[in-house]
Amino acid sequence: MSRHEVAPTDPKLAQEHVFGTFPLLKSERSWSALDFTWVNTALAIATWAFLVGGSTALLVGFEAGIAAMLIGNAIGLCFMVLASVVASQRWGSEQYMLLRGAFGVVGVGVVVFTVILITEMGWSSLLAVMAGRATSQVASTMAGTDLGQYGPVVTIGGLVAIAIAWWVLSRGPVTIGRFNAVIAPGLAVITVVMMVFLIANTSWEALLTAAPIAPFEDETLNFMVAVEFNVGVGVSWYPVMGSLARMTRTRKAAVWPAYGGLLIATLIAQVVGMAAALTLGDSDPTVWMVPFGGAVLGIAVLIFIAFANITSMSSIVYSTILAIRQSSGGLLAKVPWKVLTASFFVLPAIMTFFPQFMYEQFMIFVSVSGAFLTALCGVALADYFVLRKQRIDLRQMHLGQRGTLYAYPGGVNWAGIAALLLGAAFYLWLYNPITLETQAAFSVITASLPAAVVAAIVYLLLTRLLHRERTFRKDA
Amino acid sequence: MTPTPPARAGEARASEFEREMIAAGKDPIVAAELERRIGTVERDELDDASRQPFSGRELAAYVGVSVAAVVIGILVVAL
Repeated sequence: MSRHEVAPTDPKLAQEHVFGTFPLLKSERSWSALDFTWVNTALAIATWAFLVGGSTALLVGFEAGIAAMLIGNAIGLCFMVLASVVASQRWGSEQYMLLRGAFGVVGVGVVVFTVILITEMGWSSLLAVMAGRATSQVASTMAGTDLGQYGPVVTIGGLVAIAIAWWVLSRGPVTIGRFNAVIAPGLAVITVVMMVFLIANTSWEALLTAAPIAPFEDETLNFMVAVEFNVGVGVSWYPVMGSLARMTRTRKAAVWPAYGGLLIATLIAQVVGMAAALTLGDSDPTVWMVPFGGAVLGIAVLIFIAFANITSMSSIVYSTILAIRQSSGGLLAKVPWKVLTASFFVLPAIMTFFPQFMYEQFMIFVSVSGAFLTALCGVALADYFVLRKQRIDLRQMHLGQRGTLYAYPGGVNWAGIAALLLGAAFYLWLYNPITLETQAAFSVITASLPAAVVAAIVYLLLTRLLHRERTFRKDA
Repeated sequence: MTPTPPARAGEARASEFEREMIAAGKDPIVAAELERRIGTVERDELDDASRQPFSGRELAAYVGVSVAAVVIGILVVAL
């Protein structure tokens, strides 16, 4: 075996290599713990974190907000990392391939084209709108007039951001990596600068005594909804983490940087957003950066933020398109990459015409997508750790319906699909983020963790019921 | 009957795997590369530390840290 794999010269091999179909070999897995920590930090300190912090401030004050963000992210990241990072790191394959046992080849396609696609389109729409708001604020400052937070310039800016993101994406992962190498440290510096501006223009006392912006009457409920919202944020990393973790050299280089990197970096950025929301009434730095930082610095920061949103968009869309392509059963394999990526952006482009809707429905979006992603994690954990005892037959997995271990009638493992739906339904019964109805138990156990447990138990029970004669491991 | 030696059994399964992948629509060169990679993972990297399962001790440490983070959060609110 060669020490380092040589880049494939055959275009077909090169294409499969880029699109992540092949399991990675030891010589190709180059990320150390530090490398992966930086990757996760770059993802976590994106501008959506400010919005999450600001949304948390709707319900709780500063200290309770920090606690809610810590508890929520710790829980959400805990089972998200176990469900996606561990298996992908060991086998060098991305998480959607490894879900074939839990859902079947067609079933994974169903999950990807519904839960994953809608979730990632939602986040992309939000990032486009945030880039549009930064554009509008810069234009307002330069023109000396107020163009509004949800005006037509926001839509134009959002559409331009999508066009640039598509261009970056169409150039492939190398270009995305180059942009991220600049953006990540820049955002870290800007986050610190913004915190300094916040403290300089307000005070610690004002921060610590600030009341939540729009709480419910029940304080316990406020805190638990804030926790639950942050659990949803933690699990929202599921669609991209497996694809990244396969690049790491060891388990330690994968699990701890994924958990610690995302947790710490997310918390820092969210605290800035929450502090801004509590003291200034708005978490979005596009609103307060120019008044506080002055025209030149403010505009420079806003342009950087707009650009950061574009690279974040490119990163998450890249992983999603890979998943879509691999889960389409060969239907999309021949569709040109540029066409596929452009198709993804159609819905986010439409959503930029409704920027206010995107901002106002942010908490509902995160919580509802969290309901499905937590259930998905529950099923994935039960399948990999309990049913298959961490053993995967890579040949059988790639054979899919032509093999035996991961083949199901019609390509769908109904045990996995039913468990996913029941887990999500249980979440929505405990806590309905649309009607805000909750069960008494929600104030004690939240909704995500029990939803994941219910999904896992239902999956194992249905597997025993539906696949009694089945073999799940090659040595079983 | 003489049993098939393990190496030859592996080769037979390998070619069967490639045939199945080609029949499923994979390009022959891609199927061969996939087989080469899976063979490397199963043979050459079998005992490599990076290919070992997540141990019970690692799981306990990981969940323990998560629980500790939750407890710190609860203490921030309680105190």
